[in-house]
Amino acid sequence: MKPAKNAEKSYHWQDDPPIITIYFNRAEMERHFFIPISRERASEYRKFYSLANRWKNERGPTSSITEMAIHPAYQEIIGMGKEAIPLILSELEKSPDHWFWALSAISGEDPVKPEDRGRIKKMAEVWLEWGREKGYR
Amino acid sequence: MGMVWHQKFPNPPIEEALLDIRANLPAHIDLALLETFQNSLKESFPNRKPLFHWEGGMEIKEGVASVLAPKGGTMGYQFMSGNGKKVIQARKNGFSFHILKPYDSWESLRDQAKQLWAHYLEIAHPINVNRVALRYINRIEIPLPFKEFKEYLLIIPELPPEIPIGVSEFFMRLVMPDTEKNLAAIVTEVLQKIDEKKGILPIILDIDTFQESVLAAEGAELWAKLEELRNFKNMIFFKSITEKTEELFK
Repeated sequence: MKPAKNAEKSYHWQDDPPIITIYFNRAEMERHFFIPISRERASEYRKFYSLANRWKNERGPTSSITEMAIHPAYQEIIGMGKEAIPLILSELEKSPDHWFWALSAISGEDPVKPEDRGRIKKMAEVWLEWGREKGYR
Repeated sequence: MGMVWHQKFPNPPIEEALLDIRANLPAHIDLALLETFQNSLKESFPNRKPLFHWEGGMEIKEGVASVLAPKGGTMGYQFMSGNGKKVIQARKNGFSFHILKPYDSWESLRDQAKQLWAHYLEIAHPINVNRVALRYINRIEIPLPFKEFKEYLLIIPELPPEIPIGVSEFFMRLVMPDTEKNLAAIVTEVLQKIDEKKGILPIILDIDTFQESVLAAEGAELWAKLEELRNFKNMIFFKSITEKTEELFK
């Protein structure tokens, strides 16, 4: 690896004390690193999984869908809006769970037929197919 | 840099491609006008969120800490396609267009960006352009096991053989100016966590090429400059990988 030609013409902070150079370099590096949308979304990913884990751990063995859906963490996931949809679908694919209320609330849609309600695995399949059709998968 | 570096892969490693044009806008262009960018695009880009920029800090002087007055605010808007795979930013300092995977082609990215830039010109009437950039974030999934990073990547940190242990993490950022052509590249490489299920080690190869110079907001020169950046970016990409890596994208 060699130094760039005419590197002195590029921006530099050689006249500043070393700690200032490190500070500005670090701040600029961080700003530049998070420009891509895919990186900005990494923070949404962390938020979703933190909430999802909290919901799973705190909801208890209740089978009441209403109680599960009004859990604060579940409500916060609904509050994330459409950015949560691909993450919820990813969770559904790993293991069917009661994400359907959240998907309906966020998307405003419900592709599940009345005769399939209550059949978790079937409902999960229907939502995953919906996700593929809409381009979320 | 006379050679032209183009090869299309059926399975490109591109996670995101973005095209960014920074511009000087007339003083009367405000957020209300930028918001109207979405009006004729609502069907393709139905989702909108504001873009914020804040700067703040604190100062310690003679043992007394004080908070500096924060500055910043809303700098524009982000418009997203229904599935979130395409994103436009219309900002007070310019415009950017992002495509997330699956990536189609440079021609598709360029032609869509041209149409959207034309729309930005109608709304924001930029005086001129002061910076153009093209940035590709690649995620290369290296199959395990392998002996040396050099089998797949040629821009890597080097350890002397006298240090007989391997590397489990690295984050590397290189700034490479080409002062003769007034271009520059920032290459960021990050080792991600091994995916044992898939048997891969993912590495991010993020190549950002840009030029800071004044260009006309309209006309062919702007797009010719982006073609030059694309060629520069491709040269860095193809020279950073091996034939074994290219096979992963076929």
